[in-house]
Amino acid sequence: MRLITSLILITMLSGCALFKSGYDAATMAKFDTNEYLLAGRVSATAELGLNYCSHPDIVRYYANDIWLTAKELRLYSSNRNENKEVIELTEALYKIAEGVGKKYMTYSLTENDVPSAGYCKLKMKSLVSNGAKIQEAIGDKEL
Amino acid sequence: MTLTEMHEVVKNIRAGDDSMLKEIADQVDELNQLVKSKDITEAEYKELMSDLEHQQFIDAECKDLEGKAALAQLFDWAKTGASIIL
Repeated sequence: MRLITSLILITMLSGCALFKSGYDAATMAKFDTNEYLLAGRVSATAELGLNYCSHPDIVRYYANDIWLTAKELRLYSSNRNENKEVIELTEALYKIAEGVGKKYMTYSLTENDVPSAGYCKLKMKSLVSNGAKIQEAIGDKEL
Repeated sequence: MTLTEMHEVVKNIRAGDDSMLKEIADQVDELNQLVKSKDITEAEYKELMSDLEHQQFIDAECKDLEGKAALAQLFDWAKTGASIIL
């Protein structure tokens, strides 16, 4: 009796595992989730930074974070084969982010050349929308 | 290109049908206003102008990827959906 119960339990457990792996396969993302996350992070950080454009001492931390994340995204996507479109997109996003990162880094180091609020707003707006567009494109792309 | 010539180009783009180009033209116009009112410096103006070029590239490339993704979905459906039609 004990043997039969054990056998039934084992069968049920492996059945559950099969069901779970089937469910995972069906709901698994078909795109690169790391690329998706990093592109979204650039957009989200820029959206938060946009609120502090009149305070360069605060927004410089956001600018640095955006620069770093865009660099991570570019390096991550560039080392994967058959990813030409995303490589080009992340390269373009990095060029936008690099400008704002360098400008605020220069300001942090020299305390001169304060970036204007107008510049900050346009840069952040551009990063918000371009990061989101790239995130959407990555989400649509199948591996 | 002189400022008058630039205004002419922006005007022609606005008269056209391309919404992506219209958006870029609006942004060029906004940048011209900001540099004129000295809200941004000339160096910032140049950088933001070159960003527009990257933005235009991103727009075009995303549109292209969107099209490819839609086509892939269509073909996927066509492969699996044949039994439904037949």
